[in-house]
Amino acid sequence: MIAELTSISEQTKQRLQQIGAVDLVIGFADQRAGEDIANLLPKIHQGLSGLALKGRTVVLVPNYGVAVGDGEVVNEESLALFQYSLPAPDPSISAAQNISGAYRVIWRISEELNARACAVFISAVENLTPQWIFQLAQPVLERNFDLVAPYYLHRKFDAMLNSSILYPLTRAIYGKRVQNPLGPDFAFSTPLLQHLLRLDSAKPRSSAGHDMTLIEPAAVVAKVKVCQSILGERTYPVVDGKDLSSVIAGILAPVFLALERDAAFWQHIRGSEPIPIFGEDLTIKEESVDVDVRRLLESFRLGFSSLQEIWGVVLPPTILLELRKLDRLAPEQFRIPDELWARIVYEFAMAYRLRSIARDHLLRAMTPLYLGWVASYALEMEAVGAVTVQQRLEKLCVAYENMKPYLVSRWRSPDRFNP
Amino acid sequence: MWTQIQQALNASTARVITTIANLLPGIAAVFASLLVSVVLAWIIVFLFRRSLRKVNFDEHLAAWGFQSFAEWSPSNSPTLLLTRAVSWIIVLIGLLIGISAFDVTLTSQFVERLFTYLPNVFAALILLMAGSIAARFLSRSVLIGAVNMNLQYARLLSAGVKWLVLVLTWAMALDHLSIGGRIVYIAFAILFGGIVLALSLAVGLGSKELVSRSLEREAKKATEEVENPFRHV
Amino acid sequence: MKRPGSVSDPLWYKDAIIYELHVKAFADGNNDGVGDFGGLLQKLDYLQELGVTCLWLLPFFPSPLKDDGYDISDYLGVHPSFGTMEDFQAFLSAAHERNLQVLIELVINHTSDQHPWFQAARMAAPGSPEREFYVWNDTAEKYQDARIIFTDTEKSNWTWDPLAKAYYWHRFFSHQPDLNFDNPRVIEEVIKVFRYWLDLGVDAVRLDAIPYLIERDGTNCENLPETHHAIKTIRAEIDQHYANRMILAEANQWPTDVRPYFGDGDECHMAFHFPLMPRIYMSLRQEDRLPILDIMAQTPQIPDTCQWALFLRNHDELTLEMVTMDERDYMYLAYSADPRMRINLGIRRRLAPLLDNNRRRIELLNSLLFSFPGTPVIYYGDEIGMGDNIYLGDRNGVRTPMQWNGDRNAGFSRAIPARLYSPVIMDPVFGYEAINVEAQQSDQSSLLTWVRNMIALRKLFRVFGRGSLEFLNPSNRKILAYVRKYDGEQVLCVANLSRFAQPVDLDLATMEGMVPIEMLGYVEFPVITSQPYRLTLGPYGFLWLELHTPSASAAAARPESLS
Repeated sequence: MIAELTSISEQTKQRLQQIGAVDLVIGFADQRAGEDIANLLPKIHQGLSGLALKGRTVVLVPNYGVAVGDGEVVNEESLALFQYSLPAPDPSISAAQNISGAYRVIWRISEELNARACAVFISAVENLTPQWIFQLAQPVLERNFDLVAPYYLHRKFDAMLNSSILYPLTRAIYGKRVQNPLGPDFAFSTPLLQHLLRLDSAKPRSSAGHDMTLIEPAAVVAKVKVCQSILGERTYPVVDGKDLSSVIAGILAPVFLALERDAAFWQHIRGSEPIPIFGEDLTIKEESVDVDVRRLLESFRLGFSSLQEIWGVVLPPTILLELRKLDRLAPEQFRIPDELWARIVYEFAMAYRLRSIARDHLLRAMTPLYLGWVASYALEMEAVGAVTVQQRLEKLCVAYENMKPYLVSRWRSPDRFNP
Repeated sequence: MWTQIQQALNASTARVITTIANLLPGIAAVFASLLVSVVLAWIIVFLFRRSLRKVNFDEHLAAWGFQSFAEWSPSNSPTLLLTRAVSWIIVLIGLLIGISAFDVTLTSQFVERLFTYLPNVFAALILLMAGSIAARFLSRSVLIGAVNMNLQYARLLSAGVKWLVLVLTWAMALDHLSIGGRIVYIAFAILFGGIVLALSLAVGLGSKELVSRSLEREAKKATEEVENPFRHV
Repeated sequence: MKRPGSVSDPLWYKDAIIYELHVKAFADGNNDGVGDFGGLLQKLDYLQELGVTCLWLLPFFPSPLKDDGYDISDYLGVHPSFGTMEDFQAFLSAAHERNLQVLIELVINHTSDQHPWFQAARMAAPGSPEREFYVWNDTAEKYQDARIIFTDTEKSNWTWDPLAKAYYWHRFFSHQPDLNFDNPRVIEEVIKVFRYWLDLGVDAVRLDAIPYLIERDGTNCENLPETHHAIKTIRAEIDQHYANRMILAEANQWPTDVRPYFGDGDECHMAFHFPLMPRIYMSLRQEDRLPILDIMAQTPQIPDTCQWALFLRNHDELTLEMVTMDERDYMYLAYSADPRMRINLGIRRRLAPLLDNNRRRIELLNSLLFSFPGTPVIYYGDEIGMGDNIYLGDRNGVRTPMQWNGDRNAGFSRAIPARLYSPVIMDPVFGYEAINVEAQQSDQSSLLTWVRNMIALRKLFRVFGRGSLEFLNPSNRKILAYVRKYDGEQVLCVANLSRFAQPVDLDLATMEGMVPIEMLGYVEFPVITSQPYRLTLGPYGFLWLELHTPSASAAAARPESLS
């Protein structure tokens, strides 16, 4: 059980005390980091070389499922590498919840070591370059930021969920333009991670795994200094079609929960402001790709015809009517307007809060709509380059911000007799 | 002879009057118990109804998927149905208590059997409620899951699952109530099997082409997935 | 003997407030479970006190009652369930004594198949006078372009009659054969029916289903010129022999198609404005005045002696025939989540349930009803906010017994509940224990009291029934603002269609210098200038402001306003 392992054993504590003054803790969640230490260390060394470190660096690599006690594997003068135990990822709970276990252990170890900064890498270790290490750690160590959020360079059809919902939603709600509010790679200052640990322990534990407080929203609410750092290219894994709804449900659940928890904070915020960003902004060369949206449109149409009873509880009549019109469009003409999409997301957030139907059902029922958005976006963006993509996504974000008053009014007057 | 008749009449009159006199306390007990239970029922139901109204029981029940319950409740209000059921149960209990005061073997046996039967009734009721909720919940899960798997016959599957669970629940409830006996078992088996068969036929034979196309598509998807450039997370 | 009507003003219907009721549903005088004229007579005081001026009675003629009385089997009688002819006459006199006009229904487009005319027609030889009372054909192929109206129950407008060995034409149910208005004898007989009732003193007649009188091949058999000619013939007869009577046309058509039913003031006096009604609901739900403005822009001018009849609900379904497909979809989604609420092409719910029993919404829509140009028609029960029963068949869910008090059967009847023609509404929100006349009469804050006050207020001003209409176009589309003018009276009406408070800037420069006075409370508002006039309205709020010239307002100012 993850819950049991988030506290560190006495044995581990003793060993940690022997390490001495630590400046930076770098934690990895990808098991392959622990398997290929020989390749990993040079990258880390190179990344650290640009930093002005006063103490040692501790690297934590996971050792999934193996009941080996925590222990050092490498012990150099400036760097010590620890293995820490995590249970194997539990398929019955969401990936996000599996990840949250890794965060907790790394934070606790970092807190125990009293490090100045803690950088956590969840992404697949193949992505890692020395640049990543430097970019993530430097703003905390040298510029006094509390949270460094990652900024990835990716292709136009990568990170679709982030582009369609996570980024625009958190930007409009919390008022800060953080490209990847859900990271997953972050760097923290010690005060911040102590704050996050406190928030975490204050929450009641449910038996089905434990939602971690979302990091970026919590940081914004705590009014700490937040910045972004351009890490570089990231590859995004393929999500099996059957698992997509679980992934969506797992990712959106903590986001909507955060909305509910932070209602008193975000209702006062209007518009959004950019945050400092560091690093070299490179554009990725896009090869032109052919998109086949037929399956996506099929999903949307099937969802429209079969899920009316659920969508009817969540969405008001005008939106249902718009969806009906979309359903009748020819594939080439299929475009979901930004305002409509923003309203749909807000309505689902409202329904989540009001528990109009079982929450898991609600989020899974959103999948066909999301796939419809992807189809619409793909058809629009098929032949355009990176700059246009940026502008397009910016337009979407502005639409979310413009529709925020709609969410606020619905939040405060959840009457079903609305247009 | 007249004296003998008189004696016989006196004796029988005395017997009857004695019996009535013996029964009178019992009868009075019945009425008293009935009266007390009616008053008690009224008070309890009043409080019960207020508390149910306060927690918006009807709306929650509808939200949990229990709309059919609302339909056959009086005035479409499950609250009313429950409060009336509760009041009748209390009155019934009062009546039974009164009857058992008669201290006649027959009635006490009857009362005993009734009391042993009551738990089965409660169990059956709970089963029905749980089954209805489960049916609604499961059918929705199946519907959403099937839609997300791009199965065209999602609604059919969902309806099938709902009816399977409902039929199962009803059969279990009837079994608890020992109603029907073997006939219920047979009817249940036929219904259940029938639904499963109908589903399989509909899905398999009826949409044979659809399934084979769907399987074909699945095979293609496995390769298509890699070709499609969308990365969601 | 020809009795006069009860009014002396030929344009009485312009100032009328019409109250639509079903005799069977209103009050039961003889405790047989069905309302009747005896019971209705006892309730005339209530109606007089409410302030309505004209009672519209749904059909009460002898009938097999397969379409709730709209299938008439004898035009010259009274259905025994409702009483006798004497009962009707007693009611009529009593109504006139209280200065209440009576409007009855004459369903002349069709009769019941039990009517002696039809029975004779079936057995008569083809081509004979009796046969020609109805529309017959050997095949069902004629008039193919005519739409089917009761789509839920009828598959064709022709039905085979085995006795007559021919098909007969019916635009409605198959047991309601259409009369053949190409036959002059039919028109003669119909006029005789008119004269019978007008002789008794009835003030007005509603012509049900009037667009469908005449059929012609190659047309949709609606609104044909010959139909208008037939109506004009009838009207001419009435005008010749009777004074101050009114004909109200039920023509569920687009406004431009209803216009011909007014003729040049020589056809019908009044006609219902059907397309406006669903658009009021749409505007409310969408919080946008556009649907209302749109249909009013399509509404043509009518002759000065003619009048629109406005209504929010009636005994039929909330019809969505005269809207676009998208609008119909929207209305279904917005107002009838449960498919059981839908019938034919409409929604069979009452006013209060449609508006989620929200008092402010009910008041807002009633304010539109009373201030728009036309004569308002109130459906019985809507003045107390009665609910409906969607589990009853056909449109019977909105025809449940009137709820008079919290006693047995809602005080409608003393019969045993099982005998009632329809169950009373019993749910906790709309049930008779919660919603009834007696409770609301003693409650100063009740909807009934409010409606009574609004009716009284409306009757003080002729501008509402007779005045012109000019819409203002403020930038806030959630505000509906319009000005009514008549004979020196000017009233500015502002309505907030939104559930949230709204600000609005009105361009009232043409009325500069005038002083608006809020009508209900007689409160003086700031004087109008050439600058935009700013108002703020609460959720679903509305304002009726009578506009006074400065000298008039100084005279009218109350002492309180000086402090």
